[in-house]
Amino acid sequence: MKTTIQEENNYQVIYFEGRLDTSASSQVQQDVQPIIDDIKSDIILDCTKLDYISSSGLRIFLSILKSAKPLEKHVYIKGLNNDLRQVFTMTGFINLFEFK
Amino acid sequence: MMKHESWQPTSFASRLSLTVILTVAIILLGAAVVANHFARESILREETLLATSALDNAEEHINNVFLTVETAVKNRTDEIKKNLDNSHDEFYRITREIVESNPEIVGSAIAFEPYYYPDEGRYFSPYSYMESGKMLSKQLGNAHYDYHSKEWYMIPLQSKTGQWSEPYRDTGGGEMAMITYSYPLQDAAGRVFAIVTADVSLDWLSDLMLSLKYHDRSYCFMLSKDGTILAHPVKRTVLNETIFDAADQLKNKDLEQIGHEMIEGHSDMKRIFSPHLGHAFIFYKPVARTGWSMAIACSASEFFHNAFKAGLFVAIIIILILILLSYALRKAVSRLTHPLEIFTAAVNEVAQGNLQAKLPKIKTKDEMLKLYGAFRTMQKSITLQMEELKLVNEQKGRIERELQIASNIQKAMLPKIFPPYPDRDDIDIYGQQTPAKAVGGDLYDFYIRDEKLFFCIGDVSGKGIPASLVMAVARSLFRTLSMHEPHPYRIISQINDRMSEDNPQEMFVTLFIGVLDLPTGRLRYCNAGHNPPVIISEMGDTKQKTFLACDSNIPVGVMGGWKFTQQEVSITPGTTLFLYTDGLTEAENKEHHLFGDDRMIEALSVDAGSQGITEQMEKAVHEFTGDAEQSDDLTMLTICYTKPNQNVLFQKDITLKNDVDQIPLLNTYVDEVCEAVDFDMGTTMQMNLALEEAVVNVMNYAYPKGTPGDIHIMAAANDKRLKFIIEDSGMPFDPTIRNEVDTSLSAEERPIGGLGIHLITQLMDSINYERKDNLNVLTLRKKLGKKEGQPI
Repeated sequence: MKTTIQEENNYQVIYFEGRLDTSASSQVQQDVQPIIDDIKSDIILDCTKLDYISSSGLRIFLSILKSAKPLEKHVYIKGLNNDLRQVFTMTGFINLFEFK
Repeated sequence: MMKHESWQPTSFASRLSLTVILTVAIILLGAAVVANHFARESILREETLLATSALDNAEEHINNVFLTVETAVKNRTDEIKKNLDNSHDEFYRITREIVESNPEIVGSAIAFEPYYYPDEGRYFSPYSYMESGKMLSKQLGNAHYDYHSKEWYMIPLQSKTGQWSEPYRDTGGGEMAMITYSYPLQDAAGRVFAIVTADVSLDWLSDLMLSLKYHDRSYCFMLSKDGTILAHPVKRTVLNETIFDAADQLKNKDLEQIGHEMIEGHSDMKRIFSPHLGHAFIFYKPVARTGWSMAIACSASEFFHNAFKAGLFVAIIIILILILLSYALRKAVSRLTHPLEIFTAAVNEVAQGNLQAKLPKIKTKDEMLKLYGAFRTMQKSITLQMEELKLVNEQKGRIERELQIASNIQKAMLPKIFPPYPDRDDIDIYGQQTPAKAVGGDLYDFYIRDEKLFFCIGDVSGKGIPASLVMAVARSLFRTLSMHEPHPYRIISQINDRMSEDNPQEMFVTLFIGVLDLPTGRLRYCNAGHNPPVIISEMGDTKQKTFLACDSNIPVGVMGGWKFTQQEVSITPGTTLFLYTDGLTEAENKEHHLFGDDRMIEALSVDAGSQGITEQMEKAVHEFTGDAEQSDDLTMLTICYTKPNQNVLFQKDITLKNDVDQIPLLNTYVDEVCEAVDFDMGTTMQMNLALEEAVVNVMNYAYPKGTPGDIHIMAAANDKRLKFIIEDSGMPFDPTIRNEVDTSLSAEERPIGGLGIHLITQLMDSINYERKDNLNVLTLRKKLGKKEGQPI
């Protein structure tokens, strides 16, 4: 599991690559903590290369969203494949995020 | 009664006029009778007067005749005496003159004593008489007619006074009925030497009597002292019959009585019935000079002829008055009762449904006006009530439609697709209900949650709508409460508490709830007063039918807070449960015998499958009841716990430690399993997700942080489905009773957590938890075959 953070065109973009399962989730949580602590602009979660996500991964997504909401910043999800989109649908997360 | 009425006048007008006419007729007739009576009395008085005076006149006439005759004779005595010595022709002249001078005298003789003139011999009696209008004279006496011995000669001879003879029929002289006045002639010495006679024909008497006929049909007659008829319209009776002969011939006692009275010299008036006069009156009176008696007889009808005519006239007038009165009355009454006919027509119209029927206009302020008022009120009130009735009927119709809907809803509540689980090989269920009324009070239900079969059967006290409402409540409580509660006794307790709270009708339900854990065959059940189900179990090669042992619990809804007891048995595949309501065991035939437990057990088939068992039972009960009406709802539910397909095609297991870092191992394991059962990429990812969530749950909750422990996972697949059995020896933890995640909440409201179990239920076909031998056993199942679209 690899997590990359970049600033592009006034967006903070987080690239997720590989399997975001429970065993990977604590590392990813640490990786995104700087963004959660200091949200400067709208955020894009780029899932183009994300193969898998479990509920612990979803919880990380939810914690980013919960931090951005009070600052009136948007959180966008980009490049979600169909299998993962189904997981978002089952959990109702598809209603929480905006999709690019 | 009917006959009596048939001839009665049908209209009020005719009845009233009949009454009035009858009354008036009676009054008029009474008056007429009284008037007639007085009129007759007066007529009788008048007629009596007339008759009496006529009789008096006749007597006077008779006296005159007698006096005239006597005078005519006496006047000639001196002349006869002067001519005694002259020619005897003088005697003929004198007698001739006597006859000629008096029309009443038909003959006169001067009869001398024997040998008064010696040369004339013993008999000398010059005699002149009228015969056929001619005056004849002859010498009367001879040997054949010895007048000296005749009464008319002898009596004056001895008495020396003038004498009238009794009437007689003259045989020697005039040959007619007559009387003779005889007057003695005496010489100076007072010796009688001759008798002068004057014969008076009684014809004049008859003429006199005839002249007294003062009515057309009246007649007079005269009697001598001994009752001999002297004058009578029937000539042949004169001197030939007496009144007594006539009375004898007529057999008339009254006439005889009158005859006696007459000859005794009385004068009176008598009523009599005569053959040719009919009712008649007879007036009679004696003739003092001769001792005779005369009578006038007249017909009463003639007598009262005028009175009768007057009466007839009065009668005609009365009839005319009655006819006029009747006509006027009918007219008047018809006019008065005309509104009644309109009322009648109006009532008929109202009866045919026209409530606005027109009423007659009443101008009088009498009973008709009251009737009009009453009728108006009735019309208005009926109209009002009809409208109310219409409203009520509409409401009733609506209620009926709504009840029909209720019945449909109720039917929809019962499972109706059989077989309900065509994909499952471990369970075979069939249920059916035949309500006694449109909506029934029986219920049954079943569904599978977390590989557990929840089923119930119940019977609400009573029938019809109230029972069906309670049934709906019970069924919905069963569904709702069992959704989060796997223990039947808790489900029943909660249903009981809810239903006891608000139960004004004090209706109760006998209810049996069972929960069959399909993977293990463990049956937990709680029976609240319902008929115990029959269990058909395999005993070696034979099947045994017994009642399922049930604790005595009270029915649901009787008393809140009751502690229901739960029982548990383990059943093996091949076991059948037969549940029913008392509509089966208490089905009656025409002789009022109950179907009963024994017949039910007898009829219970052991290996016909759920539908076969149910249908054979229904057939048996119908054969028993015959044509008798079904008195109660009949509900049956048959559950066959069948042997699952044991044909395992693939099996693989793994044991993980209590550490999240082991997840990639799990991932590899799941990928291998999925590849083995030929799942596609998407399904493989879903299986990974479900398994990860299940395992992480165990790591988080069954094994508190840091606790060492194993998690054993076994995957097994037959040709239909893949199942994962996840076992751990941690704290008892049932993930299935976690609350559902509300996926509609916003980000702020969304709790972090609870997502795992939610994902498992979404991803797997079934999830089943069991605590078994100090192990948490979670079974996840997924159907094999093509990937199915997930609900969005």
